[in-house]
Amino acid sequence: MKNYLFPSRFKNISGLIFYLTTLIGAVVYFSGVSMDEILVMKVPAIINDPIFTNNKGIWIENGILDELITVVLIISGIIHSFSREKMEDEYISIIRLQALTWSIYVNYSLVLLATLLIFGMAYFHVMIIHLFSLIILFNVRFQLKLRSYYKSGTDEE
Amino acid sequence: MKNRIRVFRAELNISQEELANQMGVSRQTIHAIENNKYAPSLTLGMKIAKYFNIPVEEIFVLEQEEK
Repeated sequence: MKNYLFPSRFKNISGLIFYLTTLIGAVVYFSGVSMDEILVMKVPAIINDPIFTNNKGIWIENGILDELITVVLIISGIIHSFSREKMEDEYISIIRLQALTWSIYVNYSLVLLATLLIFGMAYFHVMIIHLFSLIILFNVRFQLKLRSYYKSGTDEE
Repeated sequence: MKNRIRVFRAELNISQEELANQMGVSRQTIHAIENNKYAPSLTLGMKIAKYFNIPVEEIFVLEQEEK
């Protein structure tokens, strides 16, 4: 049965990139640095809301640090989460599915809470964090469950 | 669902690791099945039965509430 997983050789390198990018992204975001002023270059814009930029037209000036972090974090997070284990079997698929189910429940519970309790610009920040929270929650949950799976039955023949 | 894999494995004197290698799964998965933490797929269940050369219903037994 096709399982749509990446080869296991991508797992370690994508994990390193994912956790490093998450750390860098969190530090940059919460430090309040204006990401639109870092790595400024001309980029194509299909839609460009003037609320956030002063540019008009298809080619706009934009600091690409936030786009870079977003793209790297999402791609590395997906590859890390969905790379085969060295010995991928049906029980690991079940652990992956359970971690995905758990993370969707927790992620959207947090979004519902935020929707009911947080307003104004603070809610905009919640939405930014929500871009990454699902993949982060899923990764952390899956890796913790995998760790306890690999530790299981170490004293038994 | 309960199973008697540990019993049949002991009769053949093979380890979890050896059985896992034969089945193409990890040792931890065999451990989880033996401890009733995980009910294997039909394919894996039948492979295990074939390996022990025993009917599948003699290895895997439904518990009362599952019947």
